[in-house]
Amino acid sequence: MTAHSKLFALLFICCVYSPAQAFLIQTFSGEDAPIQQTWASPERIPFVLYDAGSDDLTDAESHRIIRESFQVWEDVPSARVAFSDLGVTSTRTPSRRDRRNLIFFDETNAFLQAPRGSGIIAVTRLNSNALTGKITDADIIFNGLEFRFSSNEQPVRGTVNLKDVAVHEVGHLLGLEHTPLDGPASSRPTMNPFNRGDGPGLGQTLEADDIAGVSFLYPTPEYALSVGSISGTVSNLEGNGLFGVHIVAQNTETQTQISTVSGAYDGQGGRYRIEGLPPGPYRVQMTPIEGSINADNFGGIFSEFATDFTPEFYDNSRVENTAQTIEVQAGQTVRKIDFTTGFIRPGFPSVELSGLAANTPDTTGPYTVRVQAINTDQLWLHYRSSLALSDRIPMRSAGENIFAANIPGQPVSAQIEYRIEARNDSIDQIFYPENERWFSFNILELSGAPLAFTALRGSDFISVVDTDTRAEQARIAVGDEPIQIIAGPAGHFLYVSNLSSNEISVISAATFQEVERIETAVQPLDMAISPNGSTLYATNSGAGTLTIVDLETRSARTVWLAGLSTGPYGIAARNDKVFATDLTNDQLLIMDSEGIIQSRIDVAPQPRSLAMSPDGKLLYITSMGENVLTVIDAETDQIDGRARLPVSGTFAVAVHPTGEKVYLTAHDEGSVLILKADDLSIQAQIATGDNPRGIAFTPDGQTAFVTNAFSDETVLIDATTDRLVGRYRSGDEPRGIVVNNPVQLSQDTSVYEMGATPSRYSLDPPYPNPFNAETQIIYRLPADGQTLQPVRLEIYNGLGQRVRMLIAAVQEPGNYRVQWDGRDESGEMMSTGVYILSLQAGPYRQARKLLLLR
Amino acid sequence: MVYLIAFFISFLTWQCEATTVERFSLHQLATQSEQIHVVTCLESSYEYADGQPITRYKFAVTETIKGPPNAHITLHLPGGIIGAFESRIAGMPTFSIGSQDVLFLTAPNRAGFAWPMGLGQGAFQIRLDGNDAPRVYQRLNGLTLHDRAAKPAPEIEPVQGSELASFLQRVRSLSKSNDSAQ
Repeated sequence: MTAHSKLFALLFICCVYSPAQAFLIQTFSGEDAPIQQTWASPERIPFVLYDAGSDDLTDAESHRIIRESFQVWEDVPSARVAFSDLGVTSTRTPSRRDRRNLIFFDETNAFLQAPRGSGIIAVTRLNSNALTGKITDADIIFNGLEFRFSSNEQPVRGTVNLKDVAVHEVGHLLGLEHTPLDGPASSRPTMNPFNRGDGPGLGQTLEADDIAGVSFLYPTPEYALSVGSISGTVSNLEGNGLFGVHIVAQNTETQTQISTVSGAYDGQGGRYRIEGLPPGPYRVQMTPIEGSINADNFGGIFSEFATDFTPEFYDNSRVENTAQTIEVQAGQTVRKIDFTTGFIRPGFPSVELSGLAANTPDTTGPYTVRVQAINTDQLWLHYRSSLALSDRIPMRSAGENIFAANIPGQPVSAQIEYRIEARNDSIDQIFYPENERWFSFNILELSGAPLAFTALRGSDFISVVDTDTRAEQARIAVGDEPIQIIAGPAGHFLYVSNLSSNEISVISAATFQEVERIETAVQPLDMAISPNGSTLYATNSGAGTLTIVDLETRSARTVWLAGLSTGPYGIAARNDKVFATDLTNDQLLIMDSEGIIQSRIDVAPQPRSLAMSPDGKLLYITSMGENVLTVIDAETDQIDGRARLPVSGTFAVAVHPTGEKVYLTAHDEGSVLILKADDLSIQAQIATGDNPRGIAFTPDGQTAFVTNAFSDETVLIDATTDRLVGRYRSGDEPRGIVVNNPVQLSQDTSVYEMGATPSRYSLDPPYPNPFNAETQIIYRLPADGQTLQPVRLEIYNGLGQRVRMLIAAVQEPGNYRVQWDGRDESGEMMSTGVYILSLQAGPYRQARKLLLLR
Repeated sequence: MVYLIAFFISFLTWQCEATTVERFSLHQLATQSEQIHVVTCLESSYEYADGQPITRYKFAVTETIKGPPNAHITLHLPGGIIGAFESRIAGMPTFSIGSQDVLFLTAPNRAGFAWPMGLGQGAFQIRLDGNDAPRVYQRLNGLTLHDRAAKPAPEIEPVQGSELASFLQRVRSLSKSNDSAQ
């Protein structure tokens, strides 16, 4: 190789763009390791402002916002960053050599020369020494021709908040790359690649990841001694290091997150190091960088990320609450926090929960644990409770690779822990979870106050909150992106539309368990139930179809809606007709109860949500595209009225149980409008939070609950005084909400105490017997020296197969009465025949015959 | 000689541009772009324009969804390598010869050349997955994507890795959808 060619080879290596080192740091490839782009003298980074600011703001205002944006970074106490404000200049030509670091607004496109529609808002141009990485010149140019800029003080719809963009750009100017960390607006790092218009303040404050990044680049002398770090490797089963795996450390006390990417540290796959962790307990997780944030958000050498693996906590736990906690000390590095993707060793059993058992008020049980397992058909469920009950029971096959077992009912306040043991023919044994960890759930004692069930779109759970204490009682795992929730007849079951997994989850309001999933078409969204309780309708917003569910059989069918390629969105139902919004054609669709379109009505632009008055006579329609509420006479299908609203558009709508008031969410403005139903006059406008999208009332109509999708909270409005009376934190992106009174288990398995404590065990003859509709069963548990004893009351058919578990619980001494309605576990009516009733209670065994006649 | 080379290199500058671009939904790309083509890159070359490197690409058009149905299109995009100087603009898509893309293009700029709308947002590379099924991947290349103030952030669309056929079908029919309504 000639000297000339060596030169160009070296040049080529130096010039390949390669951001590396996460939070992340902007780097490019060196010969041996990535070269970080940093300022040689961060204590005095100069900048100069072009004297003309944005045309959309005063010059003074533009300059103030730019200066404040620099100040945001300068205010990080653990970083030795300071800017030297050189004032204003009349020279606006940016140069990569003048070292003036010019900030200016290109109002004529003279510099950017971008075509209209390019979308370019701002460019930060960094020039660095190709060998050392030291930044020599940086300019920030805003596209003033194509975009209008606004300030925090005067946010204007459709403009770009200058400080939102400027703070992010200054982060780049300092040498920071994008971070893969995402999250709600309140905690999303400023250096996230999606710089969302979250409103003043949210995009302009630094989060832990941003602070760790700038502090790592320019640490104060005290900084290294005040924080710790975690390091380790990520490899596959063959032991090969993997590049581009996102490693996230979350402080379990503050919930703050700081992350890195494997390979960013040294430019090679496998090794990672998370710097800048304030002392405290952390859970560490590896997760693939794919989906909305992926390798394309970074560029350069980060074009090939390892993504073919399942997210996992250290070590091998896939469930957060069982993951090992790592204590980080100031000035120290916790080493060897190693991950192996695909921890399933070939041939070894592998077990994964199908869904976590949620906390439940159900004392009757049984609590069913289901797992997916491969390389094994020998599984046992180990469980133990805080009441010293424990057992190891075999798990039965419940489908391909699915196994299940039941934990018997437990009394209130019990905590149940469980885990799974799996073996294969080679007697390889594993426990899930590993390392003596157990899953757990609690038997709840509810206050009796109504419960708020909220669909958390961002975390795939339904959150259950006691409306009295506002404390979360349980989280119920459902499908992907649960977005809306509706209560069925009498509130016994709740139906949840899962936007991304194309199904409706059915949840028992009595047990807090998901009991079934109903398949829909693409992107099920809003739901409505006919007043007679027979039918549920769900809009499939990505398919132009409607799913119709028979609520008695839970059988579903989907009908195509002519003329719709996307949507429908909102829906409301009477017994004789169904209404849905066609947002693309600005119409209301009117269908018969079979989903056949009968007519269409032109309504205000972008109709979104529907709500029916309690008497079924009026239908209210929100409009996202205009400040209008449309009212339809649901009998004649004619427009009954319109109301002009002092907001740009509305999203959700709900009618108060009395029918006297209508509540609307103005999602863009972050408020709720309350209108009188009789004349559509505005009673109140209440600021709620960021992007309110769900409304529900308590059964007594006293309180309205409003979910703020983007600020992750729910607010309470007194429906009498129309005043905000409280708020509580919800999970990630709360959307649909239902507020119901607690539901008791159905009568067919309910238990009653009667009279004094018996002196002996007994199982009385059932009455009536023979029976048709239901029969009553009485059994007695003596004190017998025990305060609690396990009880199983079961029904077997003539083949000796169990068809129904009536009781599986730990019970106190007493007299108990149970009814059996002649149905099996799935609710199917059993056929005529002889059945065996079996009671096991402590040492007592007794059986009796039952004759069912149909 | 080696010292001379090292001395020379120490004065070399590496330039990159971090770019913030308005985020466009697929709906916006489909409705606000001037042209939409499925293309194959035939040629690429570097040139100087106004003292800055640009890259000239020539594409063969295999399908036109929107705009004039020309057999070929040419793009001149900022950034490139001229001799020892490399200018790389974060988010400006780059194409290699033979690569296939779905391009959403702006109107021409003053020089008469369109750009992909929203830089890399308007360029979806077509790649085969493990089953040889073509899928599309947006060439974001490090862009910062911004949503305007006082406007709720729409959901991030799951376009990455979509199957080509369903993606194109969606592009054709998207002109009237509204994803923020979910």
